[in-house]
Amino acid sequence: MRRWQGRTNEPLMWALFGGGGMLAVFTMPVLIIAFGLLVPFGGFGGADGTYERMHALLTHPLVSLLVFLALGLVLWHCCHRTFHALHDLKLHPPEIVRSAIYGIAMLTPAIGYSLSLAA
Amino acid sequence: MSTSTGARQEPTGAGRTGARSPGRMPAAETHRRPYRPTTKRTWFLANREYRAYALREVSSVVVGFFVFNLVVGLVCLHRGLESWQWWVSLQTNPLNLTLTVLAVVMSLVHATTWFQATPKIIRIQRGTRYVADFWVVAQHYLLLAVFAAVVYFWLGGL
Amino acid sequence: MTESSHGHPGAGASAADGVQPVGATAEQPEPRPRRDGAAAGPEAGGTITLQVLRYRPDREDAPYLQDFEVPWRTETSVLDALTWVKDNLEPSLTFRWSCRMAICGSCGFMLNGEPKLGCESFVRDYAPGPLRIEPLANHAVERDLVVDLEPFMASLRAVQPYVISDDRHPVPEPGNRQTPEQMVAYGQYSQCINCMLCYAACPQVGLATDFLGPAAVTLAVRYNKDSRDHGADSRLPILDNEGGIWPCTFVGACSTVCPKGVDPAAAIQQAKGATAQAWAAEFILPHRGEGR
Repeated sequence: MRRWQGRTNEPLMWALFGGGGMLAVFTMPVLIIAFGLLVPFGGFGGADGTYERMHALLTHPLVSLLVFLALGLVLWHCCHRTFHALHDLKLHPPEIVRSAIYGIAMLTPAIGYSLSLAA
Repeated sequence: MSTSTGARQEPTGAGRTGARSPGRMPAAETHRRPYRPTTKRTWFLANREYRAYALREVSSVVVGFFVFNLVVGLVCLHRGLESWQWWVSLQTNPLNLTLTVLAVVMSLVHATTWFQATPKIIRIQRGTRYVADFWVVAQHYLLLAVFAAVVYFWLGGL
Repeated sequence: MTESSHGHPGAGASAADGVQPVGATAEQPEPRPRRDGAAAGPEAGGTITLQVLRYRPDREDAPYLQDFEVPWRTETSVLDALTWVKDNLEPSLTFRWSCRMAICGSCGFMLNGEPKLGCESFVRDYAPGPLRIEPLANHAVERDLVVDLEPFMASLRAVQPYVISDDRHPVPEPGNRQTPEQMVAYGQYSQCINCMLCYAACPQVGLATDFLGPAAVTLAVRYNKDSRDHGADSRLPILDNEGGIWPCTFVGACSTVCPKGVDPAAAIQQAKGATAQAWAAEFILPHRGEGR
């Protein structure tokens, strides 16, 4: 891999950001309305109905892994924009803050998946 | 770019650093004393376009908070029916509901601004012209509708 | 309207609407419907207060606004108004201009906080005023409305804005020809007149002082998309750089203010995509691009 002064890992960060964004815009409005509003108020058979429908498929280790990865990618997208918003606010945080923000996007699905496997 | 009237420009010795820091000019005498305005921290409130940009960026932060919520829900689903019932009832908590309503609005802001921007990245050339922006945007709305339909039928309808 | 037989290919912008056929008598056409400034009738006019930013480095430490009362008519451009001030009120007022027809790119100013070309902005659209005229934002001010061009020129130079050929792609006989399709691939991005309005509109130019900026990145993309060019690999280190394309957060203001419809925002996002692809290609093939 060629190296030059000022080369960053931004191509990778940006590509993941773009992928997460693409995923977010197709899925998040639907998921938020379905699971944030409809299911809690009795839509789709409420808690019992959805449990019956979703449990078998979503608790399969492989399916579960893919779903957590997808959620992580969306979270990456959000964290990327949060980090750049700091620059917009003329804050120039040290590297550790950058690592922490992107770390949230990696740790959250990782912890979620581990807890799910343990359940 | 040609200059007609204008301040007499001394040769600067070229290079960005030279031009940006008049303190380190070459030895030749210069009367240049450029004034450097600074960007205010609140620049993003200055006009409509900047405010729309700020809203777009904030919208993804709100969407991010809902992703946390979904991760918790998915873990609860793994832990069993009782746990899942607890998570679903948690959604009716006023605090959680406030986040949800905000998230619905923000996710729509997020999605529509994204769709609007896609023709700038996806340019499909057909001969000597480009596919109209409308079709690129429409395709994205179609995919959103497809995902909504998949979720709807998978969950067995309302 | 002219018939096509009257038009000749070189007529350019002047052959727009309302051109009389060659040899037609000097019968005045009906007043054309105005594209903007509809409030001002055909006989509109009056006086307006211009609030012009003054900065004289030999006298003051900071800029200030100076008011000028200026007469105007329907066809008075902002550049005309400034020229009137210079001719009649304040000979030392300093600003750049050249062609007066939106092609030289010299007379960019902030008009009421918005980057515009002075020659194609009309006083009637700002009546009754006042109209605030300031130098382009995000630039060092040398004097009055004149900004320092050197950082911008350095950015243009940095992106190698010329067709680069290499040994593996010698110029073919009988010359470097292109199909219309190949020209369309970069045509829009070649319309830039270097007026720097996009730099004044872009908040990231003001925030990240080493950002190449919209026009320079667009110029790089213009050559990268040119079928005759093989310089994308040597431009990559300039684009894929902390101060290259990455300060851009796609605010989009550069495209909004562009007087030539170049759409720098699109060019930069496409450059990001291409750079990500190049990064992936080098990740998979570690020696790709070496030895150039």
